[in-house]
Amino acid sequence: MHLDGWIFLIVSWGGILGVFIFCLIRTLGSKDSSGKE
Amino acid sequence: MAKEQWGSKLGVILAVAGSAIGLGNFLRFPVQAAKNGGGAFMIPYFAALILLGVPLMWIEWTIGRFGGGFGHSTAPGMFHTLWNKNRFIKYFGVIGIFGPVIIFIYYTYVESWLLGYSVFALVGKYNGCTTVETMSAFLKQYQGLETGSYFGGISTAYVYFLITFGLNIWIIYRGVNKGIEAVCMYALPVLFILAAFLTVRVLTLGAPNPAIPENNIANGLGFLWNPDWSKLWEAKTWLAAAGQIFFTLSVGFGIILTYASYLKKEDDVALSGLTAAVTNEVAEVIFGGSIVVPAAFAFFGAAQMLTFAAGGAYNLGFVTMPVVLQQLPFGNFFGFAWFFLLFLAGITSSISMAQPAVAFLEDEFSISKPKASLAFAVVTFVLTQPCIFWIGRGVIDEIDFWGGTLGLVIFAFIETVLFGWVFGMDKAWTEMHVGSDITIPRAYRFIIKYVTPLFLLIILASFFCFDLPGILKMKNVTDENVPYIITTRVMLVGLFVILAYLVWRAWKQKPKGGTSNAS
Repeated sequence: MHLDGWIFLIVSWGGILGVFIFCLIRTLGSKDSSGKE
Repeated sequence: MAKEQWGSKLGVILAVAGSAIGLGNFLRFPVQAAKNGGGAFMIPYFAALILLGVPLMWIEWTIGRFGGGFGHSTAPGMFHTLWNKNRFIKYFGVIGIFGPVIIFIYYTYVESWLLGYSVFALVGKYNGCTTVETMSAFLKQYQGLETGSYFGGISTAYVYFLITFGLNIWIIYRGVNKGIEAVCMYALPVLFILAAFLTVRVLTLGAPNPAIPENNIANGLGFLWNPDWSKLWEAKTWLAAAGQIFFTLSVGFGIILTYASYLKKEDDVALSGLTAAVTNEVAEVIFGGSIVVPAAFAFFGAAQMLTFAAGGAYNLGFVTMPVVLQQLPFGNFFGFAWFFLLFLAGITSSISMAQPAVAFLEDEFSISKPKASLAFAVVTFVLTQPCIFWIGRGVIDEIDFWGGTLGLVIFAFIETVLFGWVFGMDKAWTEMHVGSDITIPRAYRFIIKYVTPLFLLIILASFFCFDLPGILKMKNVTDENVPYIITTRVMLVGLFVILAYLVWRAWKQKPKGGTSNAS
């Protein structure tokens, strides 16, 4: 794989994982409608 | 009848993510990326995700929760509440029931192959089919297209279909909380574990054949990720990326509207919608991009990989992958992991396709859940038979175009215009933030009102200019298949007319003034 291929892979994976972890932390940390944490 | 509700926030997110994560994540995405510029494809892909996919997610979650507050779980009622001065708008909402039903009728059959193949992998039934040719013959015999030493007819496939179909109906019958949510709470984590497991196995393959060291996993990833910048100048690359985002997120079906209608008025939609979308992206870009293409490349090389990609996603999944996985130690187990992973992706999607029609009968005709599920089962069981017995006649492709391609874009365009223009951006923005756990960037006010509808118009125009004329004239249909396609079209038109009639009946029996806010 070429260097630019690796760059695309790392940036794509990193971006998606970053947003995923942010959403997961916020979702699990928020109160749901039944009042449970 | 008390309205059903989700048991937890995580439950609804997993249900929506389960609906979005389907066979396309693992089979369609890598083929589209490899054919449309590799790494460069990710530029239009992410542009479409940000400008089309995520806004549509938020629009559908918001409309769904809003409509649910008025006692409606499906698009006709929701569109009517958004624009109650227009008595025709509810008929456009029929697309949001029609699309999922017609996709369900072929999708459950394909899903049943995955259940069958999971068992075949475990018991070693296709062991010995070590070439693409023999594995292809195995598939054709299973489908009843050929007879031979593996299967004498379609009976095995039909038994797996009955099991899969029954399982879908049973989950729907159990209801939103005890059926759909309960299944997704287990199925999604298992799906992710299997996908992670297969990804690690594939990425550690190295060069399986030491005699051909260039056929290795790094080059397989390169086949998918090395950018071909010239493709960015081609309009079809951008359309392919937009199409992929559209289909992968399950937007434009009407499914998310129905799922979101079971939320409470104060439940968050902004963070939940984003979480469901990005969960789907993990499954697609990270897992979907790391299994099929790199594995097939490492075993077969670039030239054959192009042939496989041209052969379509089903061939990659049902023919290429079992051949590849058989060559690994514990190949039967990896084969099972692959097919069961796809089966879980399939069933969490198919149950979501059944829910709008069942919810429509429950809400608008006050029919009980068991009766609504039974009615749905009878109708879809009958309609599935052409997909089973006329396989190879183009019936599935025909259904997929009307329900899974054109219908989605038309429906998404209507709901976007209704939300941003008729309901009004100020009210829409306020509604999106009720109970919200995050603040949506203000740029999305502009994107939802102008950019998303424009994007959808461009996709629609390209369908009408390039795809529709050829499909209407049956350009790629052989003479002997024409009667089958015409019969399928009559069936589709008939179903649409019946659904439109049911909407008319439902509103005719409502008291004048129609809807009241039940929230």
